[in-house]
Amino acid sequence: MSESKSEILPPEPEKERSLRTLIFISVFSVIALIGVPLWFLTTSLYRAELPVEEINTLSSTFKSQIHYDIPFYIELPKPMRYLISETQELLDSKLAKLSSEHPFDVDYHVSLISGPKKSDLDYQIELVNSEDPNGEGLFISPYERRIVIRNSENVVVNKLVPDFISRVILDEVLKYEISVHQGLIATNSGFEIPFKDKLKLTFNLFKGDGLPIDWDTSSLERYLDRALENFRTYLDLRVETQVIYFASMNINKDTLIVEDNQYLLTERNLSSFINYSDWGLEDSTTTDPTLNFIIYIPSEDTRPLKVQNSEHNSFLIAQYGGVIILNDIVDNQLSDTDLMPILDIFASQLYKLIGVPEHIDSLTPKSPQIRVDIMMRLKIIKNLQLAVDNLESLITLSKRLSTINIPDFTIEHVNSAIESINQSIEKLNSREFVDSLKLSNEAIKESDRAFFSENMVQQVYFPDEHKMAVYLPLIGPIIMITFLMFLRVMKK
Amino acid sequence: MLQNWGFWLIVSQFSQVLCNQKGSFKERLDFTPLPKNNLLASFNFEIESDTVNWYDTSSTYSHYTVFPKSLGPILEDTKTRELHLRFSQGWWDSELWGSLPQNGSQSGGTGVEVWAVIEANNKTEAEGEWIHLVNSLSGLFCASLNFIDNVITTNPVHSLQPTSNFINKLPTEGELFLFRSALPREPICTENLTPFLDLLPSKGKNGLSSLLNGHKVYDSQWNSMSIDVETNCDDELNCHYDLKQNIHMIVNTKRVLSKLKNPLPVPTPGNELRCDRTKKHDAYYCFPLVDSTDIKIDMRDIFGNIINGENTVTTEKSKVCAHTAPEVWKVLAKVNDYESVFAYSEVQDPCYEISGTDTLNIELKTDRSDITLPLKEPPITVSRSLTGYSQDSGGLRIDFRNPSETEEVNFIYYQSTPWYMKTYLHTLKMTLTNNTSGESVVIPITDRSIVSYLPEFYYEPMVDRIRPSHLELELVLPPNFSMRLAYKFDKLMLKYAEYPPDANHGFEIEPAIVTVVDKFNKVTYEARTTPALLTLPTPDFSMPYNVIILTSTVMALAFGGIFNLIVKRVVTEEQAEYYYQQNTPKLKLRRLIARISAKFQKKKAD
Repeated sequence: MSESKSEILPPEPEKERSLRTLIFISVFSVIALIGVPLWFLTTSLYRAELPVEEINTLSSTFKSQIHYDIPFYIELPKPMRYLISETQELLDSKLAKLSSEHPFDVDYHVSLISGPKKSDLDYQIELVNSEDPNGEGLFISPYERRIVIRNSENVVVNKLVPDFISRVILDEVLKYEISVHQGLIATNSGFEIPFKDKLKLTFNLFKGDGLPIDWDTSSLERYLDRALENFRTYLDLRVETQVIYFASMNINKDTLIVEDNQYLLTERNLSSFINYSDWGLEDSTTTDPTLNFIIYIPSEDTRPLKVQNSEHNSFLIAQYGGVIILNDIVDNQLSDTDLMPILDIFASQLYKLIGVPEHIDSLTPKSPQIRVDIMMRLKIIKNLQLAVDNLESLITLSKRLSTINIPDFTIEHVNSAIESINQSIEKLNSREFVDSLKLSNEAIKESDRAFFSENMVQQVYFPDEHKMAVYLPLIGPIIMITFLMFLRVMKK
Repeated sequence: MLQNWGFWLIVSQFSQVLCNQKGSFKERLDFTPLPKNNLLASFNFEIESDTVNWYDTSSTYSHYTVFPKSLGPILEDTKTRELHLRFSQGWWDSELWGSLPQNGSQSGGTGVEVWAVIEANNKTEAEGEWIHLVNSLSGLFCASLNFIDNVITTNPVHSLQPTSNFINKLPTEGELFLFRSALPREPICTENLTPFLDLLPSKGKNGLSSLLNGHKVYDSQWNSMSIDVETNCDDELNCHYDLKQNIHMIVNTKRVLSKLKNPLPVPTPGNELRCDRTKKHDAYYCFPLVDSTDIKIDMRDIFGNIINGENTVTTEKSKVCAHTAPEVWKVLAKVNDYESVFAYSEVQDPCYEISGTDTLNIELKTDRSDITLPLKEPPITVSRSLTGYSQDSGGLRIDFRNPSETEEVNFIYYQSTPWYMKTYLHTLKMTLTNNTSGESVVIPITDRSIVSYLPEFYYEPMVDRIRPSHLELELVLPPNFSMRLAYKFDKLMLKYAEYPPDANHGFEIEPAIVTVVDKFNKVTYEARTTPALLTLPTPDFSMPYNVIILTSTVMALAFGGIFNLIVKRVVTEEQAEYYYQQNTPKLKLRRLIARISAKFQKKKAD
């Protein structure tokens, strides 16, 4: 077979081969350097930069930034002023000793200041001399922030006045707060509601039947005006009352235990007592916490209804409210005298649900006012902790889920939460407890908004796999072609 | 631990100033037989709240006795002074049933409608409160009211004006704003009745509300559920909410009874057919007659329930009244299902007062159901329809008819159409036709002479995706005349995500409202048109993905071709053929074998 020269495939000139390689490299680099980034840029989710560093420092250092002290005002005639500095020294040394036994979580002081108190929120100590040589004593007013210390001859002669004052402050008034800072007492009872600066209380009169009933709401108002006064400086309170008829229990009458002609509500029954769907207790207008207090009057066929092991025939529902079961009513009327003992029980339940420490001798003073103050101060630190935790969780979440987007307003909320935290600490350090509490609430609110932002979460439903599926017809062939060419270039 | 506050002595200042007025509750049920074996049942519940005090910010208390606490805080939080809700279903046949109950003041158009008077310092604030209000109501009434936004909300200027008297009695701190919106697509069902009953103190357990059962109420020919809250004041310090809850429903008695007999519809057996005896009739032929006029129906048939004793919470005894022609209708009250009968049909408009815990059943009986009380003729009839058939434009036509021979009708026509109906109001034409002679005259809106029939109109054009077009026409219709209004509109394109589910079904255009007023501008009658169903060009919703995929494929193809062209070597055909002859698979294989065997031999040699 003869072969003409033109039929033979000559080997490719070197110049052409290198030109081809050059073309391949330039196409490949256009794809890699412009195409791929452009595709990523146009199809990727927007993720704003979270201030990770700032949050991490905040969470590790915010407690050490707190240096708060509680002022006690004391009015003394000039020659006796030396007592103040002596007592202050004693207080400082005692606190230092306590701190060395069980270190405080924050820097905590008590200062004694000469002069009358500056506002109603401050504590005033009054020194009184007693005629009786052994008549030393102490009176803490239950209704205002006033502590009267009665010194006797014995105390004065033995120069024990500073010691006595410091004991009163540390052991009688602030013992609970100090123990919490030492980590000896846990504040979380499980009953208390998450704290916000707004609180709604509903007082509900529930009847199992439809017979009309009347109650004295004006005496309820009078009672609550007094009972809620201690909270008014810290909380924006709203009270609603309602009467509901045909409120049937969620429990079948036949499952109740009958004992001594009484229907018994056992502990197991209590959890299902409230008929959440029918009783109209849920509130669609606000997300602020609500506490519900229920007076339940059972219908004729389930009377008398008793709560097992309960003295007042009442029970408490954690983070929700309290229930009292009332079996005897006269003339379908709840009079003032019927209502007072009920409201006493509700008031004590309310204190528990808000998280005010109970009065225990030599731990908390009897004065509800001072106990409310202690709780509020401890809440500030708790709130700050919660806000910081929220922000930390946000960071963890954004690290975990790489496909969620982080819109700009999340960052705004994060920044304003951080700002509120810092301001709250500042206010706390300058003894402005009410403002500090408000700011700490603001911090929680903002951090919640940042964390629960709906725009962030809905993006989870557009996973990367979908994107790949849609663009596969473009990406697939291009990768195949360039890859085969790449092999060929390598071979040569 | 108990906080003992008993010894506290504080004189409360508030309790002396405000003597808190306790609320009250009334209820009533009316039956009205209508022609063709229909029956109108009207439930009416009236609740008066305790004294409310909006402006006293120092007061932290609000008390609810009979007024629902689920509604009160919503009204107070959003500063809503008046609220109206309508949940309706079906079409009111005014030729057969006459004018609407309560002159239409309690009946809505198909779907859900809501309007409210909100007090606020400025419009933006009021809009925020309005959105807050509808969102809260949405949770309360299990309706999609949360889909209401500014895009479908209008501020009516002549229609639906507030009726509360606090406006005259009380100096308001802010301005009052009226908002109105409707959801014509919303289906009305049992879920909406349950919250309605929960607003009542009797919770549907006794009294008249024990009759209401979702399955029966919504199985009627037409029904309308209304909730109206007004604020009324005796003087500046004593204001309260008046809550009126109404359910009006039309039941066809024959249909109800046959459904009870056969829950699944079956054809009437031959021997039960009512044939026209004057015409040919045998096993194969039957010219059916109208339904028989024998009726015997009681509450258990209509509602599935009977009244469960008197309502203990009401301030007055509940009443059941029947509006029948006394000569032929017999109304029986059956206590505890025995006929300890109280036949109270002798007087006109007989009413029965419920008392005691015994159950009560009311029975209506007649052999001449075609005789009813004379129907009240509506002062005006209206019908609205869409015209045109293209995908990009259409028209709307509204027909009014004044049935009266002597009285002219003054009325307001209110209509809100969505932004995707781009209205051309200059194309509006009015056609007036004499009902007897049939002579007609066409007046375009540009003609000055239209003023005598259209003295005033208010029009706010739509803005894309921001607000609907809002039209309110004050019209005068002379006696014995019909009027037709017609105008054109364009259909706008929607974005991909703006289409509702099942977009091919069409878009409901909410009912228009006709308000008839008298010389003193007082509302005498209110009616709503049917909703209209607008078809818009609707895409296939997988289109965006198809477009991306198709474009990607085309791009990949183009890229492949061009890329291969520039990187592959160009040779002559002969060279290529020669190359392939040298490189046929067989030769390649042989070469490979040779190479391998050469390697082996090399190894052996080693």
